Amino acid sequence: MILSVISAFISTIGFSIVFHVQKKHLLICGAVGAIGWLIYLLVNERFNSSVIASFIAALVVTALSYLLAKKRKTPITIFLVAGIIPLVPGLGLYRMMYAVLNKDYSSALNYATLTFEIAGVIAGAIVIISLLPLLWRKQPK
Amino acid sequence: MQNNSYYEKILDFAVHTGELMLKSGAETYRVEDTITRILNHHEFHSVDTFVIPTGIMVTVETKTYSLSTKVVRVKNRANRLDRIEKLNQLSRDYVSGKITIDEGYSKLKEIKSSASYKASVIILWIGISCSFFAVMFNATLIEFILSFFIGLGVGLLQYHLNEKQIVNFFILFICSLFLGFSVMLCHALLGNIMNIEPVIIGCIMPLLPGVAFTTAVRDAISDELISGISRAVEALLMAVALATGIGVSLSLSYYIGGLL
Repeated sequence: MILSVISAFISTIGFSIVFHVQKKHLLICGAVGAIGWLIYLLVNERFNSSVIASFIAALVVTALSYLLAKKRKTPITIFLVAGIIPLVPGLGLYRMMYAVLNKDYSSALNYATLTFEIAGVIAGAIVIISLLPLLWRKQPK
Repeated sequence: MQNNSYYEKILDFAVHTGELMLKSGAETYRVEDTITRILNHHEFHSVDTFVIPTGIMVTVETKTYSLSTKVVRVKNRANRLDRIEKLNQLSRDYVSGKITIDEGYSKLKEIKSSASYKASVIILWIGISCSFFAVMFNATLIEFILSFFIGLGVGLLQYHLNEKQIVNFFILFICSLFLGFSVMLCHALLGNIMNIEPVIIGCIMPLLPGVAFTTAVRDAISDELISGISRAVEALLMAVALATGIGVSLSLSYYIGGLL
């Protein structure tokens, strides 16, 4: 598991370089990705559900990116993309395709549903964290 | 000072800042917000901006100067997060009065021509992140090495196809086709000592529409419905293109190799 988290750290840094993030943010991006993946693994182990794990990891990653974006005065996208990337359901997509090739349509449908569920809960987590602060916002003029 | 050409200059500056932001892959609401902030800094009567992922429309009006509209069609979007950050800083500096409009123009040019990482560095990092993604999905040492080289190939291919300015979905399709064939070739050569699943997932990760997806969600919740929907469709189409590429290459390899 430690190996897995370390590789999440390195691959997230690689990703951030592909998207041309400035050098000063790279380590933090990697840390956000690694924290997201660590939480995903821990929750997945506890509840044995990748949907709940993705949801909680996405919640933490989004909240963390908000705080970091406020603190470092940068667009939130930089940290959010880095954190979300390891959670994107590539595994479900591949397994769905593989099941279709094997003419195993019931498990293909299973994996397709799982992929959409994971994408949905990640979106939901981003929405919740982004909209919650607005409740306490002062009346805009 | 307050003549028509002055206003036109401001409008031009604001719209070009927005255009470069959109080209760098910024969210629609951020582009709208930036243009509106820059223009509201001046004494315009009304400012209206309308931004969609492929274009910008801005209309301003003052008491002395009736109406002025600028429309920009934006093509060739890319992901340049460093530029978004710099442009954000530029507009913030401009609104707080730290820099004048002429300095703003020269800074805009500077950002436009700035290069961040060399292509070779990026391709190398695609390979590295592919191999470490494979590790995240329980790869063994041989799969780790294989996914590094296949990832390098995918990165190189994607870079060269991007230079030709083909539509993005087709590039992804070709890349995943290449990925599927090379994985199956390795499988045919090495036999059962490797598992194809971690290699394929590791190498497909850099191609997945993570950014398009995040941007779509963030656009949709800031009331940019058109952009939200079009970006969500973009993300879905990218995923479909990837799945098709993998599916076609895998089934063809099975057909040729008779492995199924």
